[in-house]
Amino acid sequence: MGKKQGEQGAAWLSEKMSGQVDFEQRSLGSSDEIGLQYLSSLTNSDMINRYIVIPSYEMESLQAFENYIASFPGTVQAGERQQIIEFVLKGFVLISIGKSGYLFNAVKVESSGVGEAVNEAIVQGPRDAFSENIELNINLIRRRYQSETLKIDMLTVGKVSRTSVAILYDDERVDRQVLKEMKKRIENVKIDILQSAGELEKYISPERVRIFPTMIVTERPDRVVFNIAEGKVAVLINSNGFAILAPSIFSDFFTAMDDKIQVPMVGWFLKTIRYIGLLLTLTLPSLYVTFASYNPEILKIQISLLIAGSRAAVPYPSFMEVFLMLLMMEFLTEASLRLPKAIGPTATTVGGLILGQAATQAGLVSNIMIILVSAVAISNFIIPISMMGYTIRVIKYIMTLFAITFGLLGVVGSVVGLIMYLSGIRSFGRPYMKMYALEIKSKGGQ
Amino acid sequence: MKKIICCLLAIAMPWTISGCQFKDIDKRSFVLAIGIDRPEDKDKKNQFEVTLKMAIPEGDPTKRSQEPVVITEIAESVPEAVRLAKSKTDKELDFSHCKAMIYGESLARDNIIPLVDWSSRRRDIQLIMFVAVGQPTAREVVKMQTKSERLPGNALILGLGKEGTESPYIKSAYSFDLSRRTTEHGLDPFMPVVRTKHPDMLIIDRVALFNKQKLVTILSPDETRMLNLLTSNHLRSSFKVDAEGNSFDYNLENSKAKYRIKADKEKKAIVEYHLSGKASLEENMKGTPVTGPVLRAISKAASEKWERDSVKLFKKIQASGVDPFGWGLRYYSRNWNNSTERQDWERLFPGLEFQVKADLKVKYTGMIR
Repeated sequence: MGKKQGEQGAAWLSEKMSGQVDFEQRSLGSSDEIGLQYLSSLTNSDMINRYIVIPSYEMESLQAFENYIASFPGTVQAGERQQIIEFVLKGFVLISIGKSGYLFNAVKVESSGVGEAVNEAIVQGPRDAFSENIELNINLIRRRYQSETLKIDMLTVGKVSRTSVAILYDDERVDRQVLKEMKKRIENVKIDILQSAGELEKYISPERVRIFPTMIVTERPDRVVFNIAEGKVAVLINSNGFAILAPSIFSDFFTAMDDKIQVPMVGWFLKTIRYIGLLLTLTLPSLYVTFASYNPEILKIQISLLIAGSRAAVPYPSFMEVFLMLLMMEFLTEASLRLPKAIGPTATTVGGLILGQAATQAGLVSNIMIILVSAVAISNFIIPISMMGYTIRVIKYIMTLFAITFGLLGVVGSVVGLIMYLSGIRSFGRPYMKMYALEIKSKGGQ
Repeated sequence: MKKIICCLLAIAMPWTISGCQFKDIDKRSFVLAIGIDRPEDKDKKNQFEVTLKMAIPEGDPTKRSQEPVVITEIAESVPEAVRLAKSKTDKELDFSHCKAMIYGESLARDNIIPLVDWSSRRRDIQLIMFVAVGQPTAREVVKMQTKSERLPGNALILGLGKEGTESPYIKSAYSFDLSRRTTEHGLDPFMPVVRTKHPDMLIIDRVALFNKQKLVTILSPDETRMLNLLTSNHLRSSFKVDAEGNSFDYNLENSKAKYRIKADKEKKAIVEYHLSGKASLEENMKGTPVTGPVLRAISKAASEKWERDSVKLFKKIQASGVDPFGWGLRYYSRNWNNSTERQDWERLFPGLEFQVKADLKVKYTGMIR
């Protein structure tokens, strides 16, 4: 029974896998009576050479080779079609000898190059991050997405660097328009050197003044897998440990991979906290200017007097104070980012503690301002995707400018304007402000 | 490019005209309470004496109570006095946190209309400001620095509102309500009366009733409590009642007052009040056992006492010719004919009859012996 299916399986598999760039078929033996089929990104080619290819020419008869193959501990006799495809996607090699088929274990175990995710650290859940090797990265995804519908298209970008770029998508679930658009945009990129995903993201974005990212750049394979299953397109770049995901909507940037792992109530709570953090980090500086200089009547008298009291020694207007401290905060963040790990904490201590404490005691800034600046910074760090974090950092200055000119009206107006702007953005033709994730397209999947 | 320049210009241009509005919080001195009197000086009888209590923020906000600054200024009109007061401080006067306005008794007995108009017309004085009558003068009340207050004027604000103490003898009045009551037909203003008690106490336990423009009568504390019971729901207070040869105190937990006006064509009208409430027994003077029948007797005696007291209050208010309950407004709304309802009510008012039905239920709270 196994024999018959082994042969049919080989033909079926090659038909099923046609179009996969990393699918390889080899014929061995004097008259091609041995067939090998495997996914090169998942298998160890050294093993295949040593245990299959070389012995096949050394064996006296076909039968002996078959017995030899069957004797390996991990080898399984090929059975149903579904089993074959499952094993091949795991990294097994389908060996068809005559009419029978065997699945030979040649799984490539890449442990060395895979590091932990640093930029998108999470508490529980998978810790792997992409490496700098595209083969390995595809391996990481394939291992998590064991489906024959995962398709990979390879392209080359960069006249000089000749960087290979892989477009990954689920053939059944992907949005064809997005895929077509993505391919077109990547093909149209005319540059000499491409080194990072962020760079490519910049080149394939529509050209206009842009402040919000419309594509996620991530280093987590599990996020990529999750998004591919949602019907999105992922782009991997050789020599860079980041992937681009498109189309991405606003709420995607506020989703951490933790949310899926947590109890639903906790997950919602965490998501709510992120949006509250977003609101705080955007509005606190501008509201401070408003309350301290335009509309103190909104606050309770106690707080008004508190602000007034702590500002009594400050010589310059409120917005100077705000800008000064916000800029200090930005310098601090940037400095601790670029410094070597050993000096980093020192910079934060010197900057945060000493500067903040001394500035209030010297009467240069008010106490409340220090609290406010740290609240702004902390709530900014809540945003899980750092690209969005940077954007929000810039936008709060714009809002503060409006607050300086128009007071409370400016704050309200700029929030309204921001929402209008966000509603106008499209990511690969998808509305950006759609506040829930794309619907899963399951044509026949589940 | 042209677009961007236009946008930038549009943003930059208002910058130049925003100048005066932008005043930092530490350059303002917040007026927390205003008191307005007639000057004691006989020659200046028709002028106004304006007292402003201000909080000047300084230094460490965690320290106890900043010293208030009190400025008194006499002028022909209130705006004029405020303008004069401005030149006495180094910071811009800011009325946006003014939460209490005290009318001196002498002024209240004369005419409050121009001041009500001024305070509701000024943009920066909020309409949620409390208003009150000050005895002996508004200046005394505003100047009073009670021991418990951390912020200047806070004791006055907490006392007049419901945020701090919730006394049944305090009938708080807001500025917006006052200005409405000065213009609405069939609804007359009232204000709580704040008295000073030296050295450092403010007493608020009476209410002053106004006809449209001046103070007519001041109710006693008990009458004030009754007025509170009749005009607001969920009054919390304790009352004393004699029943079964014993004296009991009960604590009112919930109350409700409804009324309707039964008007006979042209002849007479009856105001029918229905009071209900739930109370629990708080003190039992002689310590006799409280049983079901005793409780029912207490409830009956308490209800009857309410009926007597309220009718007495109604008669007093009717005699003084004012209408703080808004009976007139209620009558117009139910009997309008677009021409004669106001005259009808004026004719009916002196002969109004009152029927009060009180239904108070006194409970006995459990006790472990």
